[in-house]
Amino acid sequence: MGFQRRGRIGKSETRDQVTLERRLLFREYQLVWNREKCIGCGICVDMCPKEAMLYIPAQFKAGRRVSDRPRIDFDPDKCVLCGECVVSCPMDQALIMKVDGKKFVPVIDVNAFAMVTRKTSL
Amino acid sequence: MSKISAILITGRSFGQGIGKEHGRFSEKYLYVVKSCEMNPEDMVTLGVKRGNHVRIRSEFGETVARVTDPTQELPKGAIFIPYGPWANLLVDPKSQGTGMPLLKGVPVELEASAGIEEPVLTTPEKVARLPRTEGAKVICNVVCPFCGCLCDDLEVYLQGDKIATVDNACILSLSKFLNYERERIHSPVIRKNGQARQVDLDEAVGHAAQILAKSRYPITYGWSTTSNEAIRIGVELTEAIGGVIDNTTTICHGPAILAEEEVGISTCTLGQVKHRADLIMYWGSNPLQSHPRHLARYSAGSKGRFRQSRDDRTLVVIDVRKTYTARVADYFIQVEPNKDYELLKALRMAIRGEELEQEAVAGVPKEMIEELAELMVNCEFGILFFGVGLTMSAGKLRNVDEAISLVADLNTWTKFTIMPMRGHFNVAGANMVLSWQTGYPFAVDFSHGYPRYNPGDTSIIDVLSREDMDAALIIGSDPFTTFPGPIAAKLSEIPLIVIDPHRTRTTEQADVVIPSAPVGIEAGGTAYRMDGVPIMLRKLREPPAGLKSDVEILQMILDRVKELKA
Repeated sequence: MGFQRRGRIGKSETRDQVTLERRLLFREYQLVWNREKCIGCGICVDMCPKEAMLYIPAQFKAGRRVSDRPRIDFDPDKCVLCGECVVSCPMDQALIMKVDGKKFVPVIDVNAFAMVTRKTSL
Repeated sequence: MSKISAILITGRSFGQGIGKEHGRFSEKYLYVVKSCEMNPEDMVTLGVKRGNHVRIRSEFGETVARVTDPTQELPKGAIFIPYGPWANLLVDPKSQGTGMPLLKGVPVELEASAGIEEPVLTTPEKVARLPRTEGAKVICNVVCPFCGCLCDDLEVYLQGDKIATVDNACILSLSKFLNYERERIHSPVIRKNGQARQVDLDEAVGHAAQILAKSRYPITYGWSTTSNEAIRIGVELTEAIGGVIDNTTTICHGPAILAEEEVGISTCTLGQVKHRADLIMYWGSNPLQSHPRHLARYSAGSKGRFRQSRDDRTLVVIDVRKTYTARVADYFIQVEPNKDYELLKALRMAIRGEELEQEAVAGVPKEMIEELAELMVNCEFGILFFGVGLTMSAGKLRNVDEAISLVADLNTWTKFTIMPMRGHFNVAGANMVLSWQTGYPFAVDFSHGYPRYNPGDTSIIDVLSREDMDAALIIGSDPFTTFPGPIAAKLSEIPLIVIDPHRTRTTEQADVVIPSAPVGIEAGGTAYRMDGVPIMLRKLREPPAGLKSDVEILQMILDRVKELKA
C-alpha cells in the first residue's frame, strides 16, 4: 500500500481486488472488494449512505449485453468504512470488511445498523 | 390536473423485507410500503418529483403513495408498490375461479395528490444487543428461516442468550435474526367487546378451543412460516373441527401448483443447478431482492463441480421491469405487462422451428425470440426459475402451464428443468405436508368429513368473499397485510384466533392471541426448501418464560377440541 497519512483512507488495486484501508494508531480498517466474486448488481451502491460508490452499468442492445459486466468503484474520500455495503451484498465474499485482520462489520458489530439509506425505498 | 393510466405491479423489495422484520408497525416498514416507484417520464407528465404524492385508483379501491427514487427501470405506464396493506387496497380481490387474487398487472389511474395522511407510528421496542466479543458462543450451520432458499451455512454469534451477529447471512436474514425480539407478544390475550385482557396460556387455549369446537365452518390459514410438525397437527385439528385448511400458496404460487397438477413438472434440486446448469433463466422473479443469496449459492454466481464461475453460465432475465437481477444478466428480455403467455407461446413455436408471423410478440422482437430459443435448445443443462411475476399476472395458471410445457418440449433436445421461486421459508413444506396427509397441497375442505379440494371454491379467498366461514385460526401469517383489502376486512367480522410471535395487523383484530416461539430461532423443526429438500431448523436459544412452540400450542388446542367434541 505504500506510505499514507494515518487516519486517511488509502485505495489500492490489483487484478483481482480493490482494497480500501485506514490505519489508525491502534486499529486498522480494511474493506476488500473481490472482482471475481462480484456480479455487479449495484445494491451496495444504492445502499451506501455516503454516496461513496460508483456504479458502471452494463450496456444492453435489444436485450443483449454488449459491454463488459457491470461493476462498481469506490471513492476513498467519501467512504467512512461503515460496512453497509458488506451487509447488503448478496454475493458471498464479494465484499469483506476487517478490523485488525478480523472479520468485523461496524454497522452490525457496534450495533449501528444503518436504518436510513440513500435510496430509502430499498 | 393531468391523469394517466398505468399498470400496477406489486412485489417484494429490500425495504419491505427489512421493514417487516423491524415490525409491522415500525417506521421503516410503514414508510416503505406506502411508497411507489414510477417511470421518470410519467413523473414529468404528472408533475411530481421525489417526495411528492400520487393518488392511485383502481376498480377495487384507491390509495395515496409517496413517490420515491426508482431502484429499477420501470417501463412507461407502470407503477411499482411494495407488498403491503396499501398495495392490497388496489389489487383485484376476485379469484376468477382459481382461488388466487390478481396481484400484478392491475389497471390503475394516477394523478398528483396534495398530501398524504401519514400512518400513526409507534415507537419501536428497544432491543438490547451486545457487540460480538472474543467470548461469544458460535453456532455453526444454522438454517435461515426467511425465504425458500433455507441457506444452511449461517454462523450465529450468541452473547449470553442474545444474538450478537450472524455471518454468511443476507440482509433479509440478518434483519430477521437481529430484530426478531422487536414487537414481540409476551402474553396471551383475549379480546372481548373491544377490551383486551392478558390471560394465561391455559385460558387462551381453552377459549380458542371453544370457538373452534362451536364453529360450523372454520378456516385455518397460514402455515408457511412454521414447521412441518406443526402443520401436521394443524391438519388433524382442521379435520377434527370440520373446516378448511389453506396456506399462503393461495397468494403466491397457487397457479404453479394448479399447472403442475395439469401438466406435471420437470424439475431438479438446487444442487443440480449449482453443479450443472449452464443456462439460468429467471422469469417474473427478482431473486436479488426476494431471495438474495439464490444467485450466490445455487445459480449464476455459485461455484459448482462442472460450472466453476459466472463465466461458465449464461443468465437470462425476463421481466416487465429492469430489476437488480436484470442488471447482471447476459440477456434481459423486457416483456409487456400481462403478456407472458404470448411470449411463452412464441418461444414454444420458435424452438420447434415454426415461423413467427408477427414482427414482435409481447414487445419482444422476433429475432430476439429466435435467438433465445436457440440458446435454450443448445444449452447442456437449463433451468427456468419463475416467480410471482408469472403466476399472479393475467393468465395465472395458464402462464405456468405454458412455461412447464415449454420446458417439457425443450427436453426433446437437451436437459431442461423448471422450478418455482417459493417465498416463505416453509411454504413448500405446507404443500408437502398437506399433500401427504390429505392428498391435496392447499385449500383442503374437511366439512364433509373427508378431504375435498376445489380451488376457487375451497380456497380461503373464495370462502372469505362468500362469507361462509364463522371462525378462523391464523398461524404465522398476517392476512390483514397480505390479502386484498375487502377480503381481509371480512376476517374482522368473525371470531379470530391468531398464533404468532409478533404483533401484526391481524393480532390487533384477533379475539384470541397466543404468542409462540419463532421456528428456527427459539424452536426447532423441519422445513422444505423450494426444491423439495427437507432441512432441519435449529433451536438457538430458549424462548422467554411462558412461550411455547407452535407444535405445543396446536397440540394443546387439539386436545381441548377433542375433549369438547367428545
